[in-house]
Amino acid sequence: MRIFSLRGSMLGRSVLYYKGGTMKTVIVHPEKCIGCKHCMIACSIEHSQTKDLFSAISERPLPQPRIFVDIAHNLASFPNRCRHCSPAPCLEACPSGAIHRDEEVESILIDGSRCINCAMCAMACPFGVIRYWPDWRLPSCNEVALKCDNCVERLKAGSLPACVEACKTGALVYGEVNDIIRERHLVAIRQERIPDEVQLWRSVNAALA
Amino acid sequence: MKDYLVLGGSAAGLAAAEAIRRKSKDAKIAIVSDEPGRPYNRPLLSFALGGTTPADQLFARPGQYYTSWGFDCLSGKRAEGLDPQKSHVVLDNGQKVDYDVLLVATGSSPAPLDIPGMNLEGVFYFHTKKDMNDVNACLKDTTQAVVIGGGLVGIRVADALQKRGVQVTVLIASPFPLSQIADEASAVMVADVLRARGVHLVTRASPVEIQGKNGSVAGMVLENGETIPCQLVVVGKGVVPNTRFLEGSGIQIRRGIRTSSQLRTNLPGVFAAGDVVETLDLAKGYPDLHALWPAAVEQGRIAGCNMSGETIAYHGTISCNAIRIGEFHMVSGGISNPPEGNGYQSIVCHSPKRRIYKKIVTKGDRIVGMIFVNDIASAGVIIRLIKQKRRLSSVDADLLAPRFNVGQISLVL
Repeated sequence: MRIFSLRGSMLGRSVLYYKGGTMKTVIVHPEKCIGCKHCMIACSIEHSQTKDLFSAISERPLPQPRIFVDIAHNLASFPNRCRHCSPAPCLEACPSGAIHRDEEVESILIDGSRCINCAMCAMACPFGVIRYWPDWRLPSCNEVALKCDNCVERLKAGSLPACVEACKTGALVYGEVNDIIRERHLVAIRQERIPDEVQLWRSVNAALA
Repeated sequence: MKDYLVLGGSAAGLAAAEAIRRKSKDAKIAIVSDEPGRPYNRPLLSFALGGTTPADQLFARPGQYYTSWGFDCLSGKRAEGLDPQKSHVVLDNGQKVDYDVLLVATGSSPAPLDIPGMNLEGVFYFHTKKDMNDVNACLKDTTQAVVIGGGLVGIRVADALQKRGVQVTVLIASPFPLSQIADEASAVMVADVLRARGVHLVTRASPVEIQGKNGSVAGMVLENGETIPCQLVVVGKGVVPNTRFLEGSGIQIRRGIRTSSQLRTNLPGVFAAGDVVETLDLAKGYPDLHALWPAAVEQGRIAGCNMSGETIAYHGTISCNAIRIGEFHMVSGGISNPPEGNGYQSIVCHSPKRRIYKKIVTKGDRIVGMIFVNDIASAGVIIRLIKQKRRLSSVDADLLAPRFNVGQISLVL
């Protein structure tokens, strides 16, 4: 089993946990991020009830982003987003079976109707990308864990994830992993440190394969 | 072909059995489980009691689990003895089961409480699905309940009972709830939240007797002579590893079974995993008990691999827990409430107005513990730093700031 991990040339971990074969995913180039937070707005709108900025801002609960642009090391801006790790620490920690993997689009998803809001996933996530907020899709609109769903519905309908569509600087791109590896071949591709437990589970899975 | 025997049919036992099966399609795998029926997720029990989790979502595995994996399940039985010379385990019905490779994953039991009245109807521990069903069945005749123990189980059960419309009193031996995982400031926040939800907390309380009427619970007598009327008593005083049956087997036990990094015990062909073992605590630096469901799964999986001939090392874990009560969220990890002195230092950010409390505990230059209350988004990042034994001086970021994110540290990860 081949495992690659890429990171951007400056500070990013455009981490993808790539397991060989063809796989399309969102690739983050933090060095191109200018911190406009357009992706956060687009993500919020995409996950709102009305899917329109002007009506979304008056929705209750207020739509929330699943991608977070914040100040990172070196005062550069840094888009932080679920890595859809494989294996995923949040999925391993989830006691209720709400967190699962969608094999078709290689994404880690949360089934809000099963989520018991126990906070175990936030405890387990090594990247800090899980938040808790009321989910309008649930009948009682209760607070559940929210995180990036890779815009699976858009992907399955053939369009780009909302954050990628919104990004004007090329910091977020959706593409084939192999192409990115080739394209960035001349740029130093450094290894992002993979969380220890992910590393351990991989060695277990490799042993069991 | 080797005969595999797994003692315990919960988190660690099943994870190990599945790993062995994935490694060998036709190995003979027997599982001894004292709880009959389909395996379930123990951490969900208090959520099921509170009505958050429907009963059918309690199960960890699909129906017909044992047959579909080809496990030979000795259900409703428990191990009574281990003879490493003859390589067999004696069950409670006298049956002897031979093994080539054995996993002890017998888990833990509730720490016993020895006061008069424990045999009355309406007194329960809260550890198994049966306990949960018993408490549930008792609720229709219950208006007042007493929970003994202010730990995670006690607090979660109290919150669940309160949700079910029962008037709950929690008896806490220490001055604050959650004394194992919280410090004073965060425990005060927990207590305030519980009180605001209508749960009555009695701290520094020790129960002396459960009073009965016609064989059922009628009241709880405290040390100060006070009597609290109640129809239900739930005892949650922590757990102890189930190692009693191993007496005389020669296996090394301290608080739990001692294991090597490959989860081998000192006996040949005998492995151990889950609540019953001591594994390295990455924050404390010495082996300790970790009664944590995710850790048990991880250990079970690794033990299963090693039982099948692999050599995968388990590096240890830290004690970490998350609790939510209503809008209140808390994550605690490592040495969260260090003893005075001993070189521990705490960095605290407390904002009572925003109801946010964050603390990081350091020893020397190392991050060894944390408590995050109500702003827990980056809690997992801090826990990762503790597990990695990161030096504080190598982290050029304010770990307690609201805008702290993984991008501020990962350059040097």
